[in-house]
Amino acid sequence: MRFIATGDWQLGMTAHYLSPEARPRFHRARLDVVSRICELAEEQDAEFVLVCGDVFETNQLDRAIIARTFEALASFTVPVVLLPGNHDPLDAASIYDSPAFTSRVPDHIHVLRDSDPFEVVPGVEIVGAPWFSKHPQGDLVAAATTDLAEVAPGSVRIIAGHGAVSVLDPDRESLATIDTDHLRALLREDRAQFVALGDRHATFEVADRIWYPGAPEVTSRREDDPGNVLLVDIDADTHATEVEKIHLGTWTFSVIDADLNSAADVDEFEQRMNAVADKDRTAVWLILRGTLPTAAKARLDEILDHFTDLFALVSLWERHTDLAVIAADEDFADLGLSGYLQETLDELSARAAAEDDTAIAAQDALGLLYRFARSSS
Amino acid sequence: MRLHSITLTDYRGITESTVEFGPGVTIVEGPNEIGKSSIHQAITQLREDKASSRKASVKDTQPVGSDVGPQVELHLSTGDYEVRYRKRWLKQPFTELHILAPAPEQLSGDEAHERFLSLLEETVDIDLLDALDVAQGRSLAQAPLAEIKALHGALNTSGEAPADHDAFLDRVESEYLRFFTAKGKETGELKKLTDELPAAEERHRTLDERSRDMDALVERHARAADRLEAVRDQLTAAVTEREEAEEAAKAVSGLKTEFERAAEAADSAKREEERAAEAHDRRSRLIAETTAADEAVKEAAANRTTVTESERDQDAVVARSQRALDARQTELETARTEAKTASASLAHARARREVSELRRRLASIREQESRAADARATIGSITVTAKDVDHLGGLVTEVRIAQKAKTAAAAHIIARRLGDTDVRIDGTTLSETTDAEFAVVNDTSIVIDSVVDITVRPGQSPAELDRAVDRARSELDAELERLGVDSLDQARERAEVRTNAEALLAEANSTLRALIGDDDRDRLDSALSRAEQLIVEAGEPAGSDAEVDATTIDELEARVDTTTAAVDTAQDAVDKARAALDRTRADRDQARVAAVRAQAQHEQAMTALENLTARLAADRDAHSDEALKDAHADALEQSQKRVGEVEAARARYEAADPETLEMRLQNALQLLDSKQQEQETGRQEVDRLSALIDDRAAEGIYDRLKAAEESLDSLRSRLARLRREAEAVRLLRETVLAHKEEAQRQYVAPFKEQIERLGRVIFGQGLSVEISEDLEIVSRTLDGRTVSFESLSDGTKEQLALIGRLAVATLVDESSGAPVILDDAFGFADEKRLSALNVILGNVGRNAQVILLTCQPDRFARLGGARTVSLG
Repeated sequence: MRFIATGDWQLGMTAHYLSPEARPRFHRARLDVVSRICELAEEQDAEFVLVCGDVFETNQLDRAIIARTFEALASFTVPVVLLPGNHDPLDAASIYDSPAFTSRVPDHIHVLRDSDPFEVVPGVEIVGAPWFSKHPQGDLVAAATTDLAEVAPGSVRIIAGHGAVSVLDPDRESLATIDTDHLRALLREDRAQFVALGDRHATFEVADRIWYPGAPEVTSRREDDPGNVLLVDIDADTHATEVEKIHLGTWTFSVIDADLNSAADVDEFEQRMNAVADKDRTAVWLILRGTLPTAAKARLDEILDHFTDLFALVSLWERHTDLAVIAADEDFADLGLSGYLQETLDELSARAAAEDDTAIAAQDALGLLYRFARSSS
Repeated sequence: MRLHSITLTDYRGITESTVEFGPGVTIVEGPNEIGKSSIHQAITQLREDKASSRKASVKDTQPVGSDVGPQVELHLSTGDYEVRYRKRWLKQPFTELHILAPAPEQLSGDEAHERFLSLLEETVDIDLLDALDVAQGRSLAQAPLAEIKALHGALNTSGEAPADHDAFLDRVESEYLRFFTAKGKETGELKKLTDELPAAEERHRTLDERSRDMDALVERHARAADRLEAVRDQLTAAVTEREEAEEAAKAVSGLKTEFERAAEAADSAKREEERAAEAHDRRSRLIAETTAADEAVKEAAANRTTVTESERDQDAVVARSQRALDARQTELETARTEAKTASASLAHARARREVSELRRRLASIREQESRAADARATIGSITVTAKDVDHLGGLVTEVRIAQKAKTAAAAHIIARRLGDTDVRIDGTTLSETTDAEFAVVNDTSIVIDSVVDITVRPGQSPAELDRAVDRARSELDAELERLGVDSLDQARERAEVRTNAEALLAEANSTLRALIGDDDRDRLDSALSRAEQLIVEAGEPAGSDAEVDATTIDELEARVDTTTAAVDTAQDAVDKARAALDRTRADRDQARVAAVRAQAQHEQAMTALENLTARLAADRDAHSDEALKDAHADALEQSQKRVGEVEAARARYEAADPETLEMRLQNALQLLDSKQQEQETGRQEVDRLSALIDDRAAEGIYDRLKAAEESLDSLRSRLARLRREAEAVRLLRETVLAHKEEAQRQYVAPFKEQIERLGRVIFGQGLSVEISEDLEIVSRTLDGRTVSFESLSDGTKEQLALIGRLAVATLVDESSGAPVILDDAFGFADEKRLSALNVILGNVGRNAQVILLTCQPDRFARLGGARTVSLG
């Protein structure tokens, strides 16, 4: 038996930090990857697709997203099982209970609305632990699976959960933390054969047969290994299990760190940026440190302007960026400044080097002075 | 550059004239018609117009009516060169440039023209040349000094003028104006985004709040749903509780009925018991009453006997009391009679004593009265008083004084006997030892017995002394006569008799007053008459002198007191006896009443006894005493039994705790009620929240919120970028302008100083000027009052403009300088200013070449160091 485990589609999610041009493409990409999962299912003869929570970014979405989601799911020829997670819980505002959903949901889409075992295909049942609110008062997975009996050979039981597992959750006090030991016990006692979890957007193997498939398309620069789905094979008789990670994501969020202290460093930085593939589907956060002469800084600004046009996002990660500008004599020497312009340069240079709030403005002013003097000379 | 000389030939009105210029000020005089301006025009024309030129201005220089070519030759030094430059126009035109130094060279034609220009170009600043050249009618305008390189060199060691960076400044300014208005307010995109920010923030905040509200609503919904579920359970529990309570209430209700029934039976038995008890009591009371009545009859009879005896005793007591009273009254009468007699005796005795006293007193009075009368008679007979004696004494003394005076004035005989022979003077025998002195006032005889008898007759004494003696003596005699005495001694004697009589009279009067006292003399007499009358009336003779002594009076008084006391005692005894009688009478009356009452009581008790006896007999006929007693005992037993039953029933009822049961039941009912209401409220709340949530869920809050967030973030980052850019350009502009201003201030400083130095000669010490970066005079400040250049009077404008030029001339280096040429300037200056201008020009002429073209040389007559040349 083979199926695809995925999660955290976060449909409807927006990325306001991206450039206005990139935003709709990113938005679209979240739906496109669903179509690619469909293709993969067909290619790999997967019997169903299990989405472990946070299918939607939030319950407060414009209901139009539902139609677009159904459109993307329409081409699936196998069942798609959806688990409500913390972003889209089955609360009073649940998107799954909206008329747009209930009235048009295709037959092959199934929402796990409770923890009753759901036989998705003959011989395979899924026990889900859906979220009913954003703040559950206990381990939902444990509650859903405590009374499960051992699975007979020929049958397969898969647990679908959502949330942080105890070995990962730094917040030990959180009531909803999923007890990893309990999951291990379930598998050891053969009361379940596989546990698929949502909430973590990077693919992660918690323990043998306990997996976070992660988000199929990146959602945040903090994620280590996003953009994957899991292709899971379980032998119904022996319950032997194989898991294969398959990358489907097309977007990249990355952080580029550079020390810039000379014009040469700026050149090297430019080459690094040039080397990045699929720039229009790449968001880059820059951590730039160092001290640049005015001319080099002016050049850096030009480069950044240039890449901003190419990339989905080029952003200075302000919190980590520490780039100072100094007025190097050789920069201005060629400009032949004299008289009060020279005096202006001297004053701004001094202020730019000062350790106060006006230093940045003075550095910027130096850049302008450089630019204007160069073009007027 | 220095002009040495100019020669004009056939130039306008001048046929031939050479003017030599000095190194300082040269005044070129010449009437207008000759054309002092020709020099000015010639220099310009020589430089600008080629010899071949035939333009109108050139043609105008041809002398009127003669077909000759106007010609000009200028000798000048410029830079290292010294040249002679000559041109003729219109007729046989030519150009000649003769370079004299440093290397001699000869050029002609266009080549010469070009060379001359290049020479100038090389050595002098053409702009300066033009600026210092003031053609007629141009004097009001300031020279365009900004472009003069030579001046720049003079003003700034760097050779740079503020205007040099105009292109840069334009860039800065246009960049600045992208963000700010000229007044520094935000504008353009910066302003637009700043203005948009609050709305975007508000939009985002509103949506964020709405999103949170939505979450809150969902949470409230979840809580409400939980609550509803809980209420549902509580409702079921409440129903069960109510049913149980109702069951228990039903059971306790049976017990209550039982208890009530028993209580009713007990009440009935109790009433029966009370009835029997009452009948029994009534019989007992009747028996007791009968017994008591019998006792009362006996008691009344005994009482009656006692009271009747008492009445008799009281009658006897009354009679005794009456007798005692009578005896006491008799005693009283006797005592009264005795008292009366004693009083009469006392009064009589007192009257007699008064009569004798009065008689004695009156006798004394009469004696004194006669003594007084004697004294009065003596006083009446003697008129000489003590005062008269004093007066008489005085008069005698005066006579003696008068005589002494007379004697003193008379001759004196002082004689002593010497031997044993008697010598008598005036009958006085002289003693042997002592001198005797005799005043001779009368004839004095000195007799010495047996020897001589000498009579010494006094001379006539002074009449005045005699008169004084006579007057005193006559006064004395008159007084003696008035007093009826012969001498002072006699007067004294009589006065003493009188004084004694007066003392006697006074004593008698005083004794009388003592005797009479406050009484009247007549009243004393009448009192005596009355007392005598009293005695007569008492039966005794009026003249009885039977003495009544004090002892008798005292005895009589004592007797009166004794008898009066006896009367009082007897009266008391009578009163007491009467009171005793009254008391005994009252006692007797009471005894009488008691006797009557005792009789009536006795009769009444007899009747009552009879009635009671009759009733008891009748009752006993109906129910015997025994029967009544038994009936009561039975009823009591029955009643107690019933009470026991009630207690048992009550105990059973109370054991069931009906009150708590009732409370439980009421509570269960209320609980049910409230839970039903709560369920209804909860259901409504859940429905309401569901409706609200459904409503909002359809809004797509997330998408709108994210859109708002996007636009807010974008706005903020764009704004931050713009602000940074704006801040950069603002800082750059601020810095560069500050430095520029400073540079400019330093740049124009020498020029400004020079203008002010020269200008103060005309305008005084209070002058300062503002100089623009173009080296134009912007305004003049005089004694604190600032006026813009354009608003100044024409004269001041002209003078300031000229001073500006002169300042330039003095500032530029001599080698690169140019002559100042003034064509008929200072038309606007009055005499005083003109005089000051002379001073200035003279001063400037020490450092620079100045050429003044004028038709009124007098105007510059006071210009020191000037050279005056005449044209034509």
